[in-house]
Amino acid sequence: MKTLILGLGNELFGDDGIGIHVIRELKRKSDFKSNIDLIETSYSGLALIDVIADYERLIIIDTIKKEKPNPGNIRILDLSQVRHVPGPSPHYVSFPQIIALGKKLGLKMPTLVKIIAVEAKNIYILGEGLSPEVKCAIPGIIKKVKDILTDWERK
Amino acid sequence: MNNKRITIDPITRLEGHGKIEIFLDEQGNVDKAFLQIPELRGFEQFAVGRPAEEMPRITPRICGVCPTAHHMASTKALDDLYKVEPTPTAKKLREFIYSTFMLEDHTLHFFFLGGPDFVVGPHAPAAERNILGVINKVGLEIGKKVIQIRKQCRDIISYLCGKVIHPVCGLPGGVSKGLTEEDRKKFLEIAKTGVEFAQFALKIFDDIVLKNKEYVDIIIGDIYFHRTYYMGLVDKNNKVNFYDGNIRIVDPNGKEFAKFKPQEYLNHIAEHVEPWSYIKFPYLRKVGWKGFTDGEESGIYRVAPLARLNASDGMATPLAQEAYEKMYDTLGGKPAHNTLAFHWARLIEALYAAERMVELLEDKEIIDPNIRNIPTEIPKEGIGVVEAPRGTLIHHYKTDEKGIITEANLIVATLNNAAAINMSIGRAAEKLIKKGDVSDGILNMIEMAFRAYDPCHACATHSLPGDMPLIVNIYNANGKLIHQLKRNMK
Repeated sequence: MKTLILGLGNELFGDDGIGIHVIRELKRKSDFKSNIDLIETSYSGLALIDVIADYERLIIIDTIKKEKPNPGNIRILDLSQVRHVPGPSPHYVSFPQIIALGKKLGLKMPTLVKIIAVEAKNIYILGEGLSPEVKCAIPGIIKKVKDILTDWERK
Repeated sequence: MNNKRITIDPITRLEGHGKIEIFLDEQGNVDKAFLQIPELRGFEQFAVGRPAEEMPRITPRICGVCPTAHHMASTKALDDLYKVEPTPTAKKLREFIYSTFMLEDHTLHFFFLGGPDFVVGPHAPAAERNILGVINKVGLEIGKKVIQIRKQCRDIISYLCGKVIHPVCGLPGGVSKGLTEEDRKKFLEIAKTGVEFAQFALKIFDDIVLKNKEYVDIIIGDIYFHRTYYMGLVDKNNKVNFYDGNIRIVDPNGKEFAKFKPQEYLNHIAEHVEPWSYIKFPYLRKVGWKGFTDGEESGIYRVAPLARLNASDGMATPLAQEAYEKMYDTLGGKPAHNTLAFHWARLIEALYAAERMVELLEDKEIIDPNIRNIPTEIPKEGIGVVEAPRGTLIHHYKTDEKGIITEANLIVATLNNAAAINMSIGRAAEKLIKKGDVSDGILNMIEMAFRAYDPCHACATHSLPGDMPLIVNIYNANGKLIHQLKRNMK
């Protein structure tokens, strides 16, 4: 079963780079089986359809915007918990939409999907580097990735 | 006289997709409306201290959707910084890459934006009013074609600009990779398919939208209509050009108001600050800021597809020119002030982009190996301008004599439209909310007002929407929240 661990983010926008940082850390430290790929990308919207096609299982690491953020807080979401009614712009093609679109067009889309959503402190100001709260969340995120993989292996 | 001053705390800045605040007067009619658009903050602090030559590599990451636009504007700023002219072949390659990008972005965005409003219909339920609904309506084949064209365009750009996430082909004075004859022929086939596809998209627009009186009425109706100034890049014949040329501004009657080199933009564009937003609203210095209003006396101007067509004397390629003439005939002349016509103009521009790709590839000079002039001058200041899909994009750098940035400014496309977007929302709200009566369909109708501009809503960041859908807050004359509309999460 081909699995993709996908770190989404933009390192130029502070905490929005968390997905990228996590993938780099995973590449450095972890020893995954050959059927598990690690990809980091700043692509947005529909371009992601090319990235996730042909994988059966997908773990996404990304930041999440909350009205009153608790930075570094990690939540595991299913597709059903993420917006699937489209937003006001194609800049915001959500994952459920990408997957639905991919399926409709006859592409092979992941069937098992988990989203690790990390609450960010600051994502609108240009600047490199994570906030301390989000940086500290990295080991916790890595553990969640491994937990999810173990859980899937069992099934 | 009842003076109700309403201040919106600027600290409650936008953290989600969009927050629209609408304030009603005592009669329950719309007094003011504001859309808070998240803007790019900290660009100067971020750039200062960096070598200018890094900017074409870094700035594409400002936008996950249109990195090529930033890359190209940044590269041109470096040409200007070092006062080095790119070789003729380099210019052609850059314009070819850029046209490929515009074709991809425009066709994709039409199907995502205009498609749901027109192809599916403005009154269709929210769950259908998206790309999936479009595919359901027009057929799977079209969906597949859109995805295929998009992929082919992206492959071309990856090939010429490096197999990395973001383009890295631009250098001051040229490009880093040339084109072989074999690839020229291959890309030419793709470009011709692009022309066919763009024509096909216009035909869909014609069949589904223009032949439907209800849709045409919405396009030409007064809810989505503003008489503003228009700005865009034009070539020496005053035809639309995405990659290079002079900036031209026409007034609401279509008369040329100004035409200048990009380097002179500060003589023409000033910025206005509102207390409720972090955004500075650009406006025409020589007309002045008169508020969120349109007409000759107001310095508000618009950019992006319809604006570019309005600011020009036509399209430089034949099929696009034909489509341009048809649009203006239908809309009753030039300039066209109908906001929803941005979607139509977007398709005409896509056709021009594809035709231009063919033209550039049919010019044998594009495979010439001379792709770079090495800079020799001491750097000081450089300004690079391109027409991004969403409008005029300006990169401006000042450096010390070693090329390290000392000052930097960036005007992203959507910022040029910020004032107009607010005005459009205000107008739509005014027409749709009467005597405090807020009908159900209003959320979508208000969204249509700003979706036509395809604004860069925090285009930079990736974040999942979380629990921040589009919110429209409606306040009565006492500033009390009386109604809240939310685009649903689930």
